[in-house]
Amino acid sequence: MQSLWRYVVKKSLGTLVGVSLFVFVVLVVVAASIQRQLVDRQLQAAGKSYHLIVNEQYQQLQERLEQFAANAIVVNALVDYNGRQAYLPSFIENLSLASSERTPLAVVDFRGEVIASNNGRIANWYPDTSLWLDRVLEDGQSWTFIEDGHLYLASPVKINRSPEGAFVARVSLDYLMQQSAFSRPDRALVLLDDKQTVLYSTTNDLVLEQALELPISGWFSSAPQNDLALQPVILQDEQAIGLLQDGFVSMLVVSVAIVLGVFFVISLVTLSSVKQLLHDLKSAMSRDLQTLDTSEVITNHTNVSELAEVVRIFHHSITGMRAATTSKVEIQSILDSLDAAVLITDDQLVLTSCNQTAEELLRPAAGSSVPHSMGLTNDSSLFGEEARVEHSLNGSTWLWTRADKQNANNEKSGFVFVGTDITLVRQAEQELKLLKLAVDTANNGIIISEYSDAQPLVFVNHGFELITGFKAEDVLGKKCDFLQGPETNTDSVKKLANAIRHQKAVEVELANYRADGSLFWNQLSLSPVKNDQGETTHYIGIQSDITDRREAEQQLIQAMHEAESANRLKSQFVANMSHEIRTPMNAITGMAELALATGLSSKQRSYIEKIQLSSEALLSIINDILDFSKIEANKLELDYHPFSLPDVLATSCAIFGEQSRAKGVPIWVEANPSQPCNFIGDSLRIQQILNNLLSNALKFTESGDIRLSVAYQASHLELTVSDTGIGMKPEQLKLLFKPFQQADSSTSRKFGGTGLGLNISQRLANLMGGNIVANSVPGEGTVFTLNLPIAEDPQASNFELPPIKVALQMSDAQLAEHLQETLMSAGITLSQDMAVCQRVIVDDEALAGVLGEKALLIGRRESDNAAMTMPFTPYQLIDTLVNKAQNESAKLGEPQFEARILVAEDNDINWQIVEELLGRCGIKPAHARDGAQAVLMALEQSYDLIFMDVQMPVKDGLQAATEIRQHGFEAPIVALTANAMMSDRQSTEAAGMNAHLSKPFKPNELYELLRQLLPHKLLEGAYNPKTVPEKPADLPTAEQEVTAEAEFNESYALANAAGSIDVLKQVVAQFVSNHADDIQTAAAEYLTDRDASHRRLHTLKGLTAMLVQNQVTDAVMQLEQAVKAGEDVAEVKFTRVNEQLQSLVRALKEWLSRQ
Amino acid sequence: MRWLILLFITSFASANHWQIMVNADFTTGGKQGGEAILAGAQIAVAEINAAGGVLGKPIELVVRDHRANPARGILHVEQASEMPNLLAILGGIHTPVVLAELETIHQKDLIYLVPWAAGTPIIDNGYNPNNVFRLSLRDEWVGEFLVKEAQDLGCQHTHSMLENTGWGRSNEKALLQASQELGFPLLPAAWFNWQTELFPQLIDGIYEHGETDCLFFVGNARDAVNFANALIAGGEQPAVLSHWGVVADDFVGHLGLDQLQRISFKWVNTVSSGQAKTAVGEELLAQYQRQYGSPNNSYNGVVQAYDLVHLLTKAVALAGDIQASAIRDALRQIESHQGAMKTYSWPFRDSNEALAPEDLLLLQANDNGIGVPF
Repeated sequence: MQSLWRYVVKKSLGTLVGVSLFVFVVLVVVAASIQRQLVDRQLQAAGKSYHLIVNEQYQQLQERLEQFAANAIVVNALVDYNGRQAYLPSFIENLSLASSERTPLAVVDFRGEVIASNNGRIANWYPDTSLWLDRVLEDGQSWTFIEDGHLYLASPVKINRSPEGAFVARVSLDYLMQQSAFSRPDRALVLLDDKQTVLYSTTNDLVLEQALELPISGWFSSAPQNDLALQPVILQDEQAIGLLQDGFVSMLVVSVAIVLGVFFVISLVTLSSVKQLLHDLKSAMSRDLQTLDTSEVITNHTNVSELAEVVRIFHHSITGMRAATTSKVEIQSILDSLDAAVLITDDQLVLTSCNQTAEELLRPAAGSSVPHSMGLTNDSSLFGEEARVEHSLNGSTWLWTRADKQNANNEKSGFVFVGTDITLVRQAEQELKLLKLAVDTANNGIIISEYSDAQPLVFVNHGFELITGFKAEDVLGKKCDFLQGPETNTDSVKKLANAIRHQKAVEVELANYRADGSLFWNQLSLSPVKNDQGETTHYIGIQSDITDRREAEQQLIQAMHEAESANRLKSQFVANMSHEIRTPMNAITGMAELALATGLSSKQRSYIEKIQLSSEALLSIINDILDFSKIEANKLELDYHPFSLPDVLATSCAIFGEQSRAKGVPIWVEANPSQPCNFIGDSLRIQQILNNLLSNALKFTESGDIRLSVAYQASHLELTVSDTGIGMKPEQLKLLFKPFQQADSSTSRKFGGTGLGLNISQRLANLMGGNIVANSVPGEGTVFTLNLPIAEDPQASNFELPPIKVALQMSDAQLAEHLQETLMSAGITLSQDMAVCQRVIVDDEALAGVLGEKALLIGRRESDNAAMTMPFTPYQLIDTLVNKAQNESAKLGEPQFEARILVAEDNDINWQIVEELLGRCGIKPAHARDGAQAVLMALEQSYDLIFMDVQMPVKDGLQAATEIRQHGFEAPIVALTANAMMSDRQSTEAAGMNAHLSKPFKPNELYELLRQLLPHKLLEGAYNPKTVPEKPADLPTAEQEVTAEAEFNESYALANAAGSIDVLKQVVAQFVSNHADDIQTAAAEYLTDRDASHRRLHTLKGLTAMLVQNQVTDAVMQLEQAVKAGEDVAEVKFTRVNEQLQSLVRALKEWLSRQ
Repeated sequence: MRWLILLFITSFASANHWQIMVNADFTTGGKQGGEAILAGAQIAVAEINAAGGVLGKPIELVVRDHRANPARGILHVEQASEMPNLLAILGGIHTPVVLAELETIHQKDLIYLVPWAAGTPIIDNGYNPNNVFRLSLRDEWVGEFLVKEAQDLGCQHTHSMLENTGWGRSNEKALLQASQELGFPLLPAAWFNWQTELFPQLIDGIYEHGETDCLFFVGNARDAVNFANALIAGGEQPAVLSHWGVVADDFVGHLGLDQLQRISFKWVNTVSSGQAKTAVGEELLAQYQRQYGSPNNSYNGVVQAYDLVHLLTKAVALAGDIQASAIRDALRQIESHQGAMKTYSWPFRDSNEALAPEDLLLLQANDNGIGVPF
């Protein structure tokens, strides 16, 4: 054991001594540096509060001198040149600017010559007038100056606003500086001016003659405050904190001894030494910090004793002043204007006088005992050696001090008590404590840094420690960018730096690093703290750890991106599907259209019509879904352009006319043609909504009628569709505009539809800034109103109203009423006298024939002679009245053109359709099978127009069109596309195409386009005669079998119709539609009114005889005779004749269908 | 006004003109009075110069603003003594300023004419020969006049509110003297300093003596405004009989006519603004209106300065010399003069006062705020 010990000692002693020496050197250096830091921080804080104190004192001196200068006694003395000696010297003798010392004061005239002074040796202290005369006596401003340990002050005395004299004073800087709280032997105080010149120093040891270089070797100093003329700096003697250095050698010896003696526990000892040292340092630090408690500062600078001094002086002066001047009121008023309570007693504490504040506070009776008045006992510390007490009065805290009162012979003659209300001071202290508590317990990090180049942190709260993991003691004094690291976002750092440079508030989100190196997101809000002069002194920052929120946001953004891309895919898919479905659908509807134009048996016709109807229904469903998905994807774009509302209404009439007539539910269109009807809007979408509403109305109305009415007022369009259909219950109304909803699930089974129509309509209306409102009563009907804000087209004029007179000769009372209302609203004159009218509207074909050209035949059902058939719009009615808008082309066939047209279309079926339709217009188009071919052909030959399919192999239509245009081709190019998207239309326009035909299109759309684009190629008046249907070669039709039983001899009838096939057709049509039921009617009439029955049979006989000469004629004639003769005619006789008549009607219909 | 001063300073050294220094207050409490003096002097000088001047030279005015500050007044007198062509100083408004200047005036042997400033010791100054000649009110006359008026009003309890200057003391003496002579008891006077804010307390102090029915006021316009406001606020309203210091500046304008009409406030003067006392007075008024518009309540300054400048010129012409002693003697030799205030007979033979107690008027503001006899 012993040898092992020696061995170890021998082996490791040298190393251990070295190590221990090193460790202690390091320890001492570290400790000294920590100590220095502490001292420095303390110094900075003390320097700052001292800076405030000194400058406040300085300001108070200036203010007091200004008050002296404003005193009416002084002003008066300037004017009262001959009288002032009686009172001015006495007044000034008793004034004191600084309480603890006698400061020289003088009142001077407008040239700086002394009028009166409290110090006879003027020359000893009076400042050089060249320094201040201009400023004070010309500009009328106060002045201060520091030189040779003194502060010089001057303030102007003004008569009205004119500086006519001045108050000049000198105060020792000792007074200004020695009011401070500390008087430690190891500290010195210097005052610098703005050029860092030493104005004043408290220590004689310190020779600071000239400019002071800070820091001075051997001293620590607080940083000078560069913003004011007076810059107090506290110096700390470095020697005084050098205890560690002094003890260095002995510590080293001791520690080496310890190492040598107990080397095996050296590490433990060292550790505990370090711990002990740190502990000592910490407690030293906390002691030091406690001494800087704010409450101490406040208490030390409550100028109670000073007030007592001022009061003492004033009181002392009262006697002298009373004798000197009659204005004793002035003196009392000065006392009364003090906020402090002043009580003057004799030496028995019996009140002799008091000021206003004391009077109001205590209401003392004259001659009363002051302790009693104050509510104090005689043994209170106020009356003892301490001469002060703090106590509560009327809910306020008052601090009382006592001073001796002296008479003219400087003998004690009583006491002066001065009380100040320190409630606010105490409250402020309490609030400060609460604030500190709040700051300490906040979850947010709160930091305060100094506004200087180094931006040192001067405060952090507990929340900061929790968030960052840094301890306050580790970070105070550092710039707080130690939180930043490699991943810190530079944009926010720049924003921060920029805001701090401009002294603005800022809020940023910063990627910061905790003490353990982990990253966190710091939401930092920084605000500048400004002093009374508006200068930024500090920045306060509030931190929140928003790492969790940032992560959630990131996830949300990710999810949003994903959702958006999914939605884009969906939109793309729907658009593609639309294209994929529309192209074959075009073939189906186009071919059906063409097939219907060929000669077909009625069965074939019926099948193909069903194919056409079904494809149209399918197309409308696809359109609905497409619209819906576009709206859902926010992709639906509105296309605002000028449009004519009459056209929109007319289109709806055309679309729903047949269905309305077939169902026997008339559509009445009500509009006032005198109102504006040309607007700017998306007419296609308005049409779509209107069609949806009308289609619903027709679908759900079995009897009665439908009304479409238009109202326009002040940029607001209202389209109302009301029906007399099945109506809805309130709960059904609620669901009406929801997608995929119908009144109930049975509705969709019965009426079909996707249930999207109204939802789309409503959302379209909303997109256009309007809405749709539905009202309904079950069993009575439904009213839908489309409300739209809309702009009038400033370019268009109103609908033209012709100045014509019109007569109505109608048997259809309802129609007549509708016409009458429409015409009257249009301001058209109605007259009973047909002779004076340009037009007579009739609903009877015979009458129309009689009236000739004047007549305008209007019917509810289609007929060849009718100028108009329901439904029609008021605009159409008026146009027709003035022969404007007879759709001759529709009557006479396709327009004929002489034009060269190229069709670029890869799909054979579609090519076939276009070729056929163009062929009807007399055009033989050329055909290109792809885009490349189209380009070649377009350049080889000159075409008047090109139809360009957009999606083609080799080169698509857009590319082809672009190239063709690049080669200078100027004629129109029309895009043929299955895409209905607005964006597609824009891309075709961008490729230089003029127009757009969306597949599938209707023949008329194509013709209309040709008319627009090729007006110069239109052959005037030339129309293709109606294609004569080819008779099917084989198979007799069912109708042919039926008609075999009746005969209709065309040539016989033609002779009766003036040889005109047209007239004959009209007559036959009239017969079929108006007289087919005559026998049945006559049979019914026979039972009640035989004359009526006879008249009917008589007419029928004439008409029949005009058409045929056979057994039917005979049978009708016999029946007529029988009724005329008054015979009892059996019902069966009517039935039999009716069978014959029906046979004739069938034959006539068959003939008509062949025409 | 300052441009005017500058204008005259620039023509200061003209050797081809006689000079009269106008040494008045153009800035503080007697601004309007100073301007009136200057206007009267300007009109008179224009007339004299139009008639060929005096002793072969035209007269020019050198204007100095003493701002109610006696120290400045003294400086100006010193400056005047340096002017070789000086005829006289036309100075005043504030009695304390003139009183302060007396020593220098006599030291430098300058003729000092007072168109406005009533302090009795200004003339009774103890200097022999006396270089100060006055065409203005005298406190002695005013004291007697005001006491008689209070007596006529039947006042039983009359106090005084006096400014704490030589002017206030001059009036205290005059009032006490009149009170003794007329057997009219006066209660103790209250004193106030220029620009005091203590009128409410001072008035309360007066009321503490009991009922008050008449109150003499001696002070300038600005203090008078504060005094009147405090009086109105104080409730009780004794009849105020005031010296003319109130019209040294725009007292009525600053107080407000509405406020003025809430109290009985009359002041003494020599003329009522806009009412000429003589044919010359009518011409002066017409000329004043042409040059300066409607006369204000300080118009007495115009008339007094006008007459005084004419009297001075007459004396200079009589003397044929501009030595102070010559002018002083010649002034005493003026037999009569047709003035705007009155026709003077031996204006300065028996005393240095051109006016007399009978020239006093008591005025009260009419509905336009102009003081008129009542």
